[in-house]
Amino acid sequence: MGFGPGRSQSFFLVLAAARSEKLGGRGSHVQIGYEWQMCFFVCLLISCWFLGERNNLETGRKRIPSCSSSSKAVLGEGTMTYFPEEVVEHIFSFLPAQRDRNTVSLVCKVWYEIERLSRRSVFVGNCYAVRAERVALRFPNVRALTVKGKPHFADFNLVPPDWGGYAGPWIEAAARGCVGLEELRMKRMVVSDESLELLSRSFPRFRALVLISCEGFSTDGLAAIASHCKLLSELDLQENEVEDRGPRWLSCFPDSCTSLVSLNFACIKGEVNAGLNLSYAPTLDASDLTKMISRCVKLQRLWVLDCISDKGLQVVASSCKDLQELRVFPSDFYVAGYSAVTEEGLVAISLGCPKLNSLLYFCHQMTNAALITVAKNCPNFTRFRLCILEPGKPDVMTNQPLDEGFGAIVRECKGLRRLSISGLLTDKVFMYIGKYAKQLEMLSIAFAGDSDKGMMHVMNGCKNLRKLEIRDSPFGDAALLGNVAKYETMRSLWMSSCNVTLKGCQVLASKMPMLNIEVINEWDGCNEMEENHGELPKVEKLYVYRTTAGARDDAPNFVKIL
Amino acid sequence: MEAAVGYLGVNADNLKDTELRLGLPGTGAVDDHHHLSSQKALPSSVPSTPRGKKRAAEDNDDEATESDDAVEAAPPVAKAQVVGWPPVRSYRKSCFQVAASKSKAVGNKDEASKNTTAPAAAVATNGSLVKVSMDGAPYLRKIDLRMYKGYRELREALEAMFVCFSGADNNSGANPSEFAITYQDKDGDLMLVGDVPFDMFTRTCKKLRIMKRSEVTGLGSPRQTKI
Repeated sequence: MGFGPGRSQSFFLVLAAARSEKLGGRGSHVQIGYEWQMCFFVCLLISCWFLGERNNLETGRKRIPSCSSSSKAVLGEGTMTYFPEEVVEHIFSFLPAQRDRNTVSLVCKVWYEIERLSRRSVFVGNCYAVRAERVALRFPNVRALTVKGKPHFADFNLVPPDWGGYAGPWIEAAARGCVGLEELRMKRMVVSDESLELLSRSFPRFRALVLISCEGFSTDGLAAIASHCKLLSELDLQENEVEDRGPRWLSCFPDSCTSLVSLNFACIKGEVNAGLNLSYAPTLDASDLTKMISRCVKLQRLWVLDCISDKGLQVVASSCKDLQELRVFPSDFYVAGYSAVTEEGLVAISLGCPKLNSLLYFCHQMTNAALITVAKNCPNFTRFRLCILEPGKPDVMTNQPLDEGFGAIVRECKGLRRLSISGLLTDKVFMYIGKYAKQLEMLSIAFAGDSDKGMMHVMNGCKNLRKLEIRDSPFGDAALLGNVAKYETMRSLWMSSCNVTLKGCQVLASKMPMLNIEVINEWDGCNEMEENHGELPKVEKLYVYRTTAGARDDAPNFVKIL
Repeated sequence: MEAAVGYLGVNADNLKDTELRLGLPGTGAVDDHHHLSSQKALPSSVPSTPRGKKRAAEDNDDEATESDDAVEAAPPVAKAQVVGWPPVRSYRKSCFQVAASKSKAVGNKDEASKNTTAPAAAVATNGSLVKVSMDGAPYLRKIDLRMYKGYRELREALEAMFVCFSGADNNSGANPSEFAITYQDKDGDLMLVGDVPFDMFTRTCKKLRIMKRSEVTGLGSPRQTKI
C-alpha cells in the first residue's frame, strides 16, 4: 500500500475520506474538543504536504515513492523526526471513531501500521463482510470487538435456522491473534458452548460479554464464563435463546468474585434511572400504570405495551417532558385484533414531548393528518418506526394511502437516520423518501409500493443508505439492477417475497463481483428453479452484501451464493 | 385472549373446558374466537375514528413453524397469520405465549403476571409441554415443565389441577398417598417420578401419568411416592 507525499497524499486523503464509508463504522462519538483535534491533525497533514511539495519542486518531477526507507529523506524521515511514532499514535488516540481511523490508515504505509497496532476497538457490522483472521491479523491489540451476524429480519423468523452467523471463527481468530481482548459484543450470532469455553480460557484480561439476540448456547457456556473470567465486570444477555440447564451456572462465579459490576439477563435495557421497560407486563393495570408514569417526570426512555391506551399516552405527554425514546408494543399480535392506542395517542405524545427523537409504535390505525401533525411537532426524529398491524391499511379517515403522512415525516425530520413504514403506500412515498431523506441510513419496507420505480427512488435518492430491507413488495429485477454501484456503498440489502428473479440476481452477481448475492430458498427450491425454464421463477429470499471475504464457506444447502 | 375470557365471567374457562367437543383441550373452535374478538371490540370510550376490522386477505397460516408452545397457546387455526408479521421479536412473542400456557396450566392469573414482568433470558428452544393424564379423569391436561423449580412444586401443581377428580368418594378431597406420579421417558419406559435430578427429569420426560397406587406394582415402596 504505497502512497506518496505531496499532491498524491492530498489526493489519497480525499479518496480515503470518500472510501472510508466502505470500511464501516459510524460517525464520531467524540464531540467535545473534536474540532481542536481535527485542526491539529490537519496541520500535521498540511506540513506533510509542504514537505512533499518542496521535494517535487527540487527534483522537478513528481515521484510517488512508498513510505519506505528510500523515501525517508523526502517524507518519511521528515515526518518521523518531527513526529515519532509514539506521538503519531497519541494523535490518533483522539480519533476513536472507526471511520476516522480507517481514513488515517489510508494515508501512508507508516500510518497504516501505527494505526492498526494502536487500534483498540473494532466494529464489524456484517460478519461475512470480512474474514475473521484478517481482522485479527490487522488489529492484534484490539481490546473491544463488536460483531453482528444475521440480517435484521431474522428477528421475525424470516431467516431460516442454520443460515449462518457463527461466532466460532471470530472467537477462534481472536484467541489466536488478539490475546489482549477485554470486551466482546455480538448481535444475532450463533454462539456455541465450546466457543464460550474457548473465550473464557483465551483472554486473561476479559471483562465484558454482551450477547444480544444470539442463540446456540446453554447455561453451561455461561458457567464457563463465570468460572474462568476472573476479571469479569459486565455480563449482558439480552433476548437470547439460551438452553436452560439449570441455575447451577450462577454459582460458578467464584466466591472471591469482586469484579462483577453489571449483570443483566432480564431484558431490561439501559439504566433504570433514565428508562422504564414495562413492555413485558400485560397484566399491569392501565390506571396504575399511568399513575406511576405521571410521577416519572425525568423519564427519557419508555417502553410500554399498547394496554397503556391513548389516555395513558396523554398522561405520558403531560408528565414526561424529557422523553426522548418511546416504544409501544402490541399486546395482541393478531392483525385484525384490537388495540387501545391509535393515531391520537401518537399526536398527544408529539405535542407534549418535543425532545422525542426515537419512536417505535405499533397500532391498528393511522391517518395522514396525524402524521403530518407529528412531523411538525417533532422535527427531531432520528428513528421513526411505525407499524400498522394490518398490512396495506389505508388512512382510516380518508381511505387514502399514507404517502403524504410519511412524506411529511421525511420532509420535516431532516436528521432522520432510521425509518420503518407501513400501511397502504404507493410509489409516491418512495419518491418523497428519495427526495428528502438524505441522512437516512436504514429503511424497512413491508407490503408497500406499486412498481420498480418505488425502490429506485430510494436507491437513487438516499445518499447515506446503508441497510435496506424489503418484504412483500412488488419490486423486481429492474429495481434490483437499477443502480448496481449503490450496493458497494451499503452494508446490505434484504428482499423477501418480492418480484426478483434468479436471472436478475445472476446479472447482479456478474456485474458486481465484490458482492455476495445469497439466494435463500428454504423449501429446497433449487430443483424448482431449474425446472421452470419457461417462466422466470421468483427468488423467495435475497440477501446482498458487500464483502472482501468472497463467498462464505459455511453456507447451508438452502443458500445459494451467486 | 385470556383477558377476553375473563370478560365473559369467572367460570368461563371452566365451562369451556368441560364443553363436549372433538379435539384437544386448548384448541378452540372458530366461533369461539370470533365471539371473543367481538367482545374485545367494545371499548368503554368510543373513539372518534372508526375501528377498522378489515382482515388481511393474503394471510397464510405458517405460524406453526414455532414450537409446540405456540400451537398450544395460539388462537385457533382460522385466525390466519402472515409469517414474520407483525415485526415483533420471536422472543417477545414467546414470552407472551409462555405466560399464556402457564396461566392455563396453573389456572391462576396472579402467577402468570409474576412471570411476565421479569422473564429470564433463558427460554429453551425445545418445547417442554407435556400431557398429564390421570386414571379415571375424563380429559387430560398439559403443563410446562419449565415452570417448576422442583418436584415439590410440580406435585403441588398437579394436585391442584386434578383435585376435582379424585374427591368423588372421599369427603376430604384426594389423599395424596393414593396416587403415584409416573412418567414416560425418551425411551418409552414408564418411570416413577422422583428418582433422578429434576433437571434431568424435565429433559427426559415426555408424558406424565397419575396412577392409582393399587395399580402401581413393582415401582417401589409406597414411601417413595413422597417427593
